[in-house]
Amino acid sequence: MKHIIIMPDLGQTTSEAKIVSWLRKVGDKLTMGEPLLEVETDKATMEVETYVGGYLRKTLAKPGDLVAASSPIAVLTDTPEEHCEEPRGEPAAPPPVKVVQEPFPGGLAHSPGRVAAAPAARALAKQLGIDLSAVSASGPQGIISKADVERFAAKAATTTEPVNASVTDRALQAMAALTSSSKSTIPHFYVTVDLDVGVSETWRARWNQNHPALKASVNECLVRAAAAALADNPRLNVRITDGRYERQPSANVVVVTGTDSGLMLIPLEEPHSGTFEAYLTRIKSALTSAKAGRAQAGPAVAPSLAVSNLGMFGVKEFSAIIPPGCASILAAGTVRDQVVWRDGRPQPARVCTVTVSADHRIVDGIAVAKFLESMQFHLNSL
Amino acid sequence: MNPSLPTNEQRLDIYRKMLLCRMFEDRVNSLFLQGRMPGTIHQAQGQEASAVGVCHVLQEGDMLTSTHRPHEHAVARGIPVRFLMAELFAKNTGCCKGKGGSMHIGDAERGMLPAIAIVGGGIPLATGYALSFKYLKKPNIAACFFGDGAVNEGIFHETVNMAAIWDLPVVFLCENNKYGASTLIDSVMKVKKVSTRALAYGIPSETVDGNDVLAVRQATLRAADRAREGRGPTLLELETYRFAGHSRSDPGHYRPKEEVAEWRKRDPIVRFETQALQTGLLTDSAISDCRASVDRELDEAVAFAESSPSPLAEECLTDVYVEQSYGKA
Repeated sequence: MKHIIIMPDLGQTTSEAKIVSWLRKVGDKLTMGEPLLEVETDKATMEVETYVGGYLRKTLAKPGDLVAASSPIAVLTDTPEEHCEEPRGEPAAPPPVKVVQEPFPGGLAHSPGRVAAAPAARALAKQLGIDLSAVSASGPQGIISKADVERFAAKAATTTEPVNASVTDRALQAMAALTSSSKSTIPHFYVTVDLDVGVSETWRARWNQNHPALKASVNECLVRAAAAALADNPRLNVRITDGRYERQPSANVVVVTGTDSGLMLIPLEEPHSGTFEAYLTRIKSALTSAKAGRAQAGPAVAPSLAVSNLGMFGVKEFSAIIPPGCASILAAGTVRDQVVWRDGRPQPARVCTVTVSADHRIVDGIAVAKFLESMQFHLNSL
Repeated sequence: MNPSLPTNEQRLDIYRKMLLCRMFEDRVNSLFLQGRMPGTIHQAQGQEASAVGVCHVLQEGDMLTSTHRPHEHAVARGIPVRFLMAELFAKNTGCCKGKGGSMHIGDAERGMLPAIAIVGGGIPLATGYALSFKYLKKPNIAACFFGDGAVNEGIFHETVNMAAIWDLPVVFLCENNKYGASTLIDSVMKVKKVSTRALAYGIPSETVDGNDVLAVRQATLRAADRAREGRGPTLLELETYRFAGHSRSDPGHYRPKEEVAEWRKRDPIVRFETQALQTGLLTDSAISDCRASVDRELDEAVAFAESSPSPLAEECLTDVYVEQSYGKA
């Protein structure tokens, strides 16, 4: 008789586990309750015993595989020789092992699942702020060693990944490396304000009516106003490179945009300069070519401010992680109607909540507040 | 012969109950590994002497409270295993109609409140029962299992003190298995014995070999007699060990291998069997017959559970609140 061994649901917060090693090999005779394999859950590495005695005939997953709970992982039979294949033509059981793809949605605040790593590697990665899921393993059975982490750290420090890489894995790895290093090395602080977008939204509606072929989005207006405010506020227009703090001669902005393969950072030189029409043409073309995977020719820009927007998804407000090099990032929510108390009575208003995350090593709250005040001014005079 | 010692018939009953506890837990583990049973489980293999030794003393009308590790308590209290198994399968024939699960098994009508997974949570409830027994002049007692992790909770101190000053008929049973989840008791308690704590409340206490079912039974009998005679509560510390991790997702790596091996040698069931074979109470064939009969009982329980219906959506809110008037009739 054939017995299917499944991956038990052993995790505390996840229902999958990584196979560390098979403790017995195909052909071995097992008794009930004997440890068969070692698995790593989100919480611990532990042995899984067989619930039945018999001969181990097949293993259906290999060390390093992340396997969903309840998936079959091995086949045992009562006698060493008996048939254990499915007859032809019948639906195949055991079903194929469901190997879990580690989810990595395009959010900046995602924490990936547990990966197999040596304790020393784990400790070093924690110290360096490296996300282990981005590190490739060279050790036995796909376990990340301390050397792997050191290699990854050295590579991350010397290579500049093309910011508009469109290869999924590379984009994900770059995002994992950049965000973990940012969030663990930059002392973030946050300033939130409700921008009054009544005037700018009326203006935008009129613009769109007059320019049906070159419509402006809320975000394009926000980026333009933010760049102008950045130019007004040199204290915010700074970058840290190699531990040195540098004031920037021009006000450049990087726009964070989401694509199917992850997040992209699209640098724009002085978005507030030139006519609004020329600006719109420029930003739209930069976005299109970045999404198509083409890097745009042109001078390298060093942005000090990033702009991220989730307003199109109805998000009210959020805060973002500062991309390395920048001094701050502005996170914009949706434009919404709100009643405000003004001149002693309730009045309708259109507002957009923005949160600026800034690097407190080089920027203080007053600089951010002044920048936001200035941004409101520029929004009113697009 | 000391009349308080169990008869041969009682000893055989004790043995079968311990086997039923152990084999119930082993069966649950097997069902879990097969993916047939859902959920987190906290297993008690190794603690059978404590569960059975205590419950053997309890009478009809007495009330027991339990912990997050309640399976063996419920089996020992005599709740039929089919109702326990059905509860673990979340079926509406379960002792809590499938709405409680592993950490809440129990049946007040059969003398065990549905277990409470909050550490120390059963202590005030048992004491409340004891207060009602005393107030209503009933001959019953309450008994209350908790782990070593509970004795540093405020509720333990407050409740034991209250039970002491009012001489309530309750027996406090600390199953000291050395670890509160992964924390060694020595690292969180300065006194060496939990039983020492009783001095502070002015009540008697004993530290008992919790893997010797007869020692547990005799100590519980003394404590229960005191309680029934109106002489107040007793604190019993039952020194025992769980063979498995804290829960199914805990491999227990914090325990030295030698320590686990040492306690395995003190397996309460093996100890009982060895002694019983020497005295002639049991024979090898009696042991295998007993195991086979327990196996059949568990087969029947699993079949009953797996063929039972799931709880109905309409029953979501039943048994949530009790409608009762406390005014004059």
